Amino acid sequence: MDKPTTTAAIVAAVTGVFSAGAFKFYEFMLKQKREVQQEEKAEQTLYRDDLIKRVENLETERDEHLQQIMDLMTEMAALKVEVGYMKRDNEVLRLKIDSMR
Amino acid sequence: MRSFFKAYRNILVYHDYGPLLLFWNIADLANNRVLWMSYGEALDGGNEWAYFQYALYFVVALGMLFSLPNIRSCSRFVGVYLLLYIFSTTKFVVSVLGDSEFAAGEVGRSLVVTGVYFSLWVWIYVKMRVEVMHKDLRG
Repeated sequence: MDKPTTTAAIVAAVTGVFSAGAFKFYEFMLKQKREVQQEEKAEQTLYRDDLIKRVENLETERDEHLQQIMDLMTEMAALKVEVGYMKRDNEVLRLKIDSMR
Repeated sequence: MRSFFKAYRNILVYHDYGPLLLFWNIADLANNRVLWMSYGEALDGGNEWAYFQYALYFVVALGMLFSLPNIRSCSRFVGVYLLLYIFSTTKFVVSVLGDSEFAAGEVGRSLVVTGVYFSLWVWIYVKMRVEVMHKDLRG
């Protein structure tokens, strides 16, 4: 090989190696930057995620309590009817005792 | 004035290289000496190494054209093309420096044009590689 060809081959090889290295370094920097961004994002959304979780728990509890109230109201309505019947029976019995006297 | 230059900067940073690469690639293939000169002619003129070099350019440019939809493969071809470009330019410069018969004006013009073309290929290559990197990072 003549001198210009040898020089050109060396320059091309060195440039290739250096540019490959430079791109690897840039890729590494990009990865680092992205990791930092993801960490920051996770920190920012931490409070929000916690709030979402708490709201979900509270909603579940509210549904359970509503069901309990419904059950109690049904039971109370049944008891009211029963008390009404008992009051009437009591009145009838009292009248019967009064008439026997 | 500042916004005027900023517009040029934005063109370089945000505009896509795809259509430019396609047309430039076709023009490059059509302009390749391999298509317009036989090996015999090159041999007669004592330019057989230059002919091989052009043939190599032709193969790489063809690879670039056919791998255009696949950015990863295409960027490799562009990389090889750039290395060839550096090789031939360096060879030219070293030859010029060692030969006093070259016309200085003609050399200057060639070097300016080569410099502009080189910047173009570097811009395309950097854009492609950065895009590939971002794709890799996104998974």
